[in-house]
Amino acid sequence: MSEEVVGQGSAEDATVATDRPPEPADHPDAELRVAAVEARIRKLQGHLAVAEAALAQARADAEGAE
Amino acid sequence: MAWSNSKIYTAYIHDVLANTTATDIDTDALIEAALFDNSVTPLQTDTAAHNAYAGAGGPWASGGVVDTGTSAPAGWPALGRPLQSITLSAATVNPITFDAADTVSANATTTLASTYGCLIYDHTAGSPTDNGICYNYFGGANAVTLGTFTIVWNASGIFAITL
Repeated sequence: MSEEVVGQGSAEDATVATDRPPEPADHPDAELRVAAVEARIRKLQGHLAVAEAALAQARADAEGAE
Repeated sequence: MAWSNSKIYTAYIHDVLANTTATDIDTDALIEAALFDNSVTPLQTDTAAHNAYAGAGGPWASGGVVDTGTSAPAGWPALGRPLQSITLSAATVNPITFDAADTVSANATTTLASTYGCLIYDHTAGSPTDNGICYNYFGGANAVTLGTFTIVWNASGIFAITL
């Protein structure tokens, strides 16, 4: 049994519960899941880009305030 | 142990607001409806780890109902059937309503027994894995023998949040 990691963390920190039943190779939703995860990653990349832009602006503001 | 009502998990809403999990229930997400018998006792205010499908120590770690109708039953897998035609009401509408087309077994030779309700969970990606969203009680035992099983969602949606 593995531990769930909830909250902030990197991919290296993250674990997936191993006590759940295995995903059958022929599960009818398998391809749907791939597409759904890809879509979620794109959204997260979008959020990351916004956060990085905000960080750059915040740093520029901080340098200007010095 | 049993269940008797339908609820949205507080942990799900909390974790969305706190950004502690990457989740969405938009049209491109894979949201599953997994069936369960009357041995489960879900708790609306339980932890996210417990609320997840097959979450260790939680109500959904056992009690699943699966198709047993044929030699290779696939009508309703343990992992559930995916919600189709998902809709989320517009951001300017109150209540916020999450809905989908009625969820139907994958074939007409499905056999299910003692089906009391389902867990709606996010099978896309997130933490915890297979994050529980809500659970919907069917009002009693439901069954089908070598037929089609359909969850007819309420006219007001799978869930609605009034603000």
